[in-house]
Amino acid sequence: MQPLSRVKRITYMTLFTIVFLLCIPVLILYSIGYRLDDALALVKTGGIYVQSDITDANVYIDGELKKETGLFLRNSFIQNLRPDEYEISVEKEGYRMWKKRVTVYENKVTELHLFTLPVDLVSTNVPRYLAATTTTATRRPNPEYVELQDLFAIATSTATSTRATTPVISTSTASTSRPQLDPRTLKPDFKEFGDLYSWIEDGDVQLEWVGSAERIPFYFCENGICQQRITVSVEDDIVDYEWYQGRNDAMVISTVVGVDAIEVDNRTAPNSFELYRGENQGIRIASNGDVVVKLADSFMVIQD
Amino acid sequence: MNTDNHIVPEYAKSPYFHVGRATELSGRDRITYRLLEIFPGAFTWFTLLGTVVLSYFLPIWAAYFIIAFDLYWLLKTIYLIIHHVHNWRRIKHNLKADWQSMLNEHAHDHIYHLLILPYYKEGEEVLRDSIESFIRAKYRRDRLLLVLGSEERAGEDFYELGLKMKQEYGEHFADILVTKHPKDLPGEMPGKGSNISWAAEQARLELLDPKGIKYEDVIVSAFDVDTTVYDQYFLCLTWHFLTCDDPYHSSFQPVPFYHNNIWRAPAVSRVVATSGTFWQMIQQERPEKLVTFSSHGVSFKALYEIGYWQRNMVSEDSRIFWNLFMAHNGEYKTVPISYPISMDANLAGSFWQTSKNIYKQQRRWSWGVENLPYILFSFMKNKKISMRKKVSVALNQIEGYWSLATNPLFILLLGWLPLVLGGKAFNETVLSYNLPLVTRNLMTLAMVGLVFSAIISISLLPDIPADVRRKKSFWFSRIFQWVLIPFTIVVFGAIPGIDAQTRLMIGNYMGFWVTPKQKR
Repeated sequence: MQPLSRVKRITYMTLFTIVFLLCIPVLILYSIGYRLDDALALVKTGGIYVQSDITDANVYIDGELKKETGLFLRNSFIQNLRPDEYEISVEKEGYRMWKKRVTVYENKVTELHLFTLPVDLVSTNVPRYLAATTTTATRRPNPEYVELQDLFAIATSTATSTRATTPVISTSTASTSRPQLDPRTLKPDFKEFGDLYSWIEDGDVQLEWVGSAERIPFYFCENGICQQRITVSVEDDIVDYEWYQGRNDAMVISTVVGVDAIEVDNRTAPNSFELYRGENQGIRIASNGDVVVKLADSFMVIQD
Repeated sequence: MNTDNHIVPEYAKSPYFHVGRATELSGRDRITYRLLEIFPGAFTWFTLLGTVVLSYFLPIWAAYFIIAFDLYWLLKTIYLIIHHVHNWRRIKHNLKADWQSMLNEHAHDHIYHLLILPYYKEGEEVLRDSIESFIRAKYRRDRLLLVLGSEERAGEDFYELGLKMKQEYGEHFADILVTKHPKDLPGEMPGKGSNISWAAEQARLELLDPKGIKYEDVIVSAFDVDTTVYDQYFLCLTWHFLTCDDPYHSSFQPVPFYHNNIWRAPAVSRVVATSGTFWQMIQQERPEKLVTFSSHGVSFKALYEIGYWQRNMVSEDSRIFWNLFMAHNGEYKTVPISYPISMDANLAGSFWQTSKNIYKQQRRWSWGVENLPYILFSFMKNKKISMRKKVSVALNQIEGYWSLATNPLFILLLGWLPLVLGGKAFNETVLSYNLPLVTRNLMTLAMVGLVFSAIISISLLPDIPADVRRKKSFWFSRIFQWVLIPFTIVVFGAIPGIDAQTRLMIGNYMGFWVTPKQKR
């Protein structure tokens, strides 16, 4: 039995070379985002990428089911979308619907980060005093209330000490003279989340990115154009805010009418979810991620 | 040992015919040779670093390159699988063929086999297994001459071991010669090449000449110490020798299996061994690219006329082909006989030691890159080889060493490089999202080729010993060993390749490393 003949090998080689030369432009054009339309013309398309922390959700575009996320594939990349505006929504049983209207650009992917909460949140009222066992017994302080009080006290003192001992040098003044103290850092509501500065100004939360342009959060940018500062604004004045569960694209805000969880994304109307309605004296995030709302004589603990 | 006055081919008489490294030359030749030693490593590093740089500065073009490379790899895999399957069919056919009947159609009584079995400090069991396989093989005993090549540096005990083997097995061969290769001969590097060259010359003086055996009637099999032959090996080899159009301008290459202890070796050793066989089987179907490797056959006449194997370098098994190729002005080839021989898979006392030994062995094999400067230098010096042949051979060899060192890394690591280094602008493109998807899909299709390789490998394996069959952990490792392939092609393929090429590039020349042999 002879080895594979040279003629056969050359034939195979030639065939595979032809296949390679034909497939390469097709593969590359496909990878870039080119597709054939109904008239078999090449059109440029874009995509949407939804990062998600929840599993088994359905992703819809303009009402049409596009993806079902699973345990290991929670994020969704949807491509073959003509440059246009689309309504994207994500639904999961037991969770509030998340919906956004976004623009898709040719050969680009619009990145989104799903933010939703369970429909039924567990809210627990923590009174200042424990319920009296008899009518004559002295009211005893609720130890849980005391702990939560400390949370507000620690947070306040931490903010104060941060302001006092770690003044931030302004990065906007690229001066060669003596560096100046950034006045924003003197505000009691000033927060630093990595290279993300935030503070309240005129009832809105201002966000400014002071880090490198390469690492700027996706919601500062649209179609390759990035802003250095964006505003989180709602109908009522924001009086307090906290970053939500370690995310830099979602926060809990306190207004005169109540407490809401809101996503940070100025490119389109942000989703917000009501957590508490009524007057309140501020909010904090506990170490376990619970939202703690300070009321007149108690705390409301809202668990995810 | 004076072998110079019988050198026949003109080019073989040149002062650089047996050059081992740049430092053996002088003047312009030395500089040229040194630059050629630098070339393979430099090309590999240039490619690898260039890919990183390209991913940073031009991530889009890097992405295009990766997609093109992955498609190329998929098509190459299919192309090679065709070769692999064909050789598998040939091996199956050749194992069943009646070579004695085929040989009987040709006069062959005059043919002798000179079996050279060099050894260092390997155990008695290793020698016995090899010798007993020669005895079991179907061939006239009075035409088998065995040379046991011991090393003086191993100590007298090992020479005595050879004498013991001669006493025990002498009646099964026409003759057994035990040689003792002196240590520290000038111009020699300790290793297999210097040992078998010494043994071959001693065989000429003490066996061939006294018995009046013509050199052109002798086929030399330069075995590794753990080589065992299948039943009809010598019949098959003789048939190919006699039917070849020019046996004195041809070497004969069997297919190396590593089945002697395959079931006792750990999964990683089995996978690496199988991959080696896989590649050799493919090369058997591309004879114009086939170079001698490990145990192979060659006429004594051809060997004698060029002074035997080189004694001053490591990869004597492939270098002898290039010596003969250059000596005969490009008119030399390797005949694939598609008949197996078997050697040991790497096995040591512990998994870690086994892995270290595998790495070292692969690095020594990758040190075959030391042939590349020899080839290119010889092409510059030998004007009688056609330019077409020089270009074809040079490109083939350069591509071979380059792809060994780089392609596994491209396959496994390149898909994400532009994503990490490409920056924000690139990461917002559809291309950046599709890159891992496209490469994953292409590589998954290419991995289907693994299925064919696995099926072929399994069909060629020996029976599983009863004591091994009883172990549950064995069955688990046998099934899941194939997932190790992506790991082994990098750790035991690309990295030793880069290691060897880099050593050559910086002038850190390797010596011969003896692979420890352990049967069980």
